[in-house]
Formats: sequence, C-alpha cells, structure tokens
Amino acid sequence: MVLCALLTGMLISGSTWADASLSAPPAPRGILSIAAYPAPPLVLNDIDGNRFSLVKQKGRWVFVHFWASWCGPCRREMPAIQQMVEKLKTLPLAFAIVNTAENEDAVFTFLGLLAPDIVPLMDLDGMVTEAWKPRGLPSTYLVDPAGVVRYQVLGGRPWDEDEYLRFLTALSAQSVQQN
Amino acid sequence: MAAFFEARGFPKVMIEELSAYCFFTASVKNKRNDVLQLDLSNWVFTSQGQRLQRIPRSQWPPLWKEMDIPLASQSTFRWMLLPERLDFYAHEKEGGNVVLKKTMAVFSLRARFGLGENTEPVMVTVDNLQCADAAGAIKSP
Repeated sequence: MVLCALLTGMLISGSTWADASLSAPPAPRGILSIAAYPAPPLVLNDIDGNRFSLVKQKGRWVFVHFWASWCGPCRREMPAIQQMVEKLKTLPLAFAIVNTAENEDAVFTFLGLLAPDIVPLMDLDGMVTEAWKPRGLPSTYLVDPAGVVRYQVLGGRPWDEDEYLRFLTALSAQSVQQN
Repeated sequence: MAAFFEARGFPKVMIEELSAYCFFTASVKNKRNDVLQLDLSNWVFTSQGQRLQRIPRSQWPPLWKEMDIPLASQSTFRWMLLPERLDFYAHEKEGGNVVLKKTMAVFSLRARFGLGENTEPVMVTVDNLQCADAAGAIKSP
C-alpha cells in the first residue's frame, strides 16, 4: 500500500512538472509565456566561490536574471529584486542572478550600493549569458521544476510589487521537493 | 564613450580601435499593441546625399579575436550594441549603440520599422546629427 502511494505521488509530481504552464497563474505585465524549451546550461560560481548548477535546482521554479552594473535599467531594477528575494526566501523558489562579464570589484561596488544582500553568480567571460541569448540587459527567465524555460520577461520589472510577488508565489506552489 | 570603455576595463588597444568610430545611442520603445520589427539593415545614415558606412555587429568578433581581446570585454561591447534584428513585443523597450565610421559632417538617419506583411512600415527621420570630435565636444551644425 505504501509503495502504491509513493508511485502515485511520483506520477502526480511528474504531471505537475509537465503541465506547469497549463495550471499557471495569469502573468503580470511584461512576463510572457513562451514556447517552452529546455534551459541552456547554467553552472557558475557565485561571488563567494560557491558553485551553482541549474540542473541541481530541478523540482522548483528558478528565477534566472542577467544584468550588468553599467546598464541603467539594471540599476533601477536591482533594489526591487532584492526586496522580492527577501520576501520570498522561505518559498521553494531558486534564484540565479547572473552578472554578465564584470569582475568582482565592479559587482561588489554596485551591489553594495543598491542591493547588498544579493549574492550574484559571476559569468566572468560572458559565455553563459551568450548561451541564453537574452534580448538585452536586464533579462529574466522563469524556468520550471523540470528545467524548461516557460516565461521570458521584457526588460526590468517591479518585482517587489504585489502583482509580481503573487505570481512568483503561485509558481513556487508548483514546486516539488526533491527527495 | 572612451570613458565608458575605460571604466569597463577595456584594453587600451580596443579603446584606440573604437576611437575611429562614432557611436549613435538609440532607445526604441514599441508603443503599439502589436509587434514592431527592427532591422538595422533598414536604417540609412546619410550626409550630403552620401550614405554613411554602418558597422554591423558581425564585424567585431573576428577583429577582437585577431586583437586577442579578452572575452569579458568582447561580451560587454556586444551587449552595449543595439540588436541587428529584433521583433519588439507590444510595449517592449530596448536600447543600444549603432556604430558608424566616424565623420565630422552633419548627417541624418532614416529608420524603417516593419509592422508585418501587407502593412505600411513606420518611418522615422532624425536630422542634424553629429559625431563628437576627438575632444568630445559637440559642435553646432
């Protein structure tokens, strides 16, 4: 009986991942539901030297964001991202906030002023960013628990506003904890 | 622009190479409720009836490779350019630089944005443009 229950649970989980877009909440302005595709590779060290691998995030939604300190819209958006991360930190939602092609000094100085609690991933040579082919900087993607890109976000967004927080919270409810 | 490049840590040889060009910074916002097509091959820069040479995005990677420019600098430079082609979603905004061979003459831009088949494109004309001189001063036309 226990084995049957476990198998049933796994089948339901698989169904949740596969149908993530079908049961998705309506997206706020600027968040586009797109033709899904497997997420490109994303393996980077964060600014503290800790390794992040997108593949290891399977089971939960991932907020993947590309930015640079010289980009005006990135500067305006980053405080909202920090607020959002802080408010949603207890949810099963992962964050990959990727700096494109800058060194630690530039990143540290920038974030120290605008979003000191963000721990960025360092794409030092810009090649990971290149693989994702963002439309511009900043760019955000939402990757589902099966590692499939489901949403593309146009430009900077007010991530700390209720509409966006509700949307991300609803997505995170679809996450499945890995054993 | 040299100050911007220097602040990004671009190598001196890269900055020297880029000093031969003029950077036209454009911000494009699609205020329509449907797609707006950008294709820089449909942007024409002219001065006194002569077409000015625009440097396409594809020209830079072989040059940077030949000059052994670090990948990070190549990446940053690439991201500061306006895309060669982009279909803007409704209300989408993107910006970046368009690169021209430097000229001291006053020039104009005639930019064509597509709206899809069987629809008249949007034409935008901007006159009295001028590249900054080597000292960075903008002279009146």
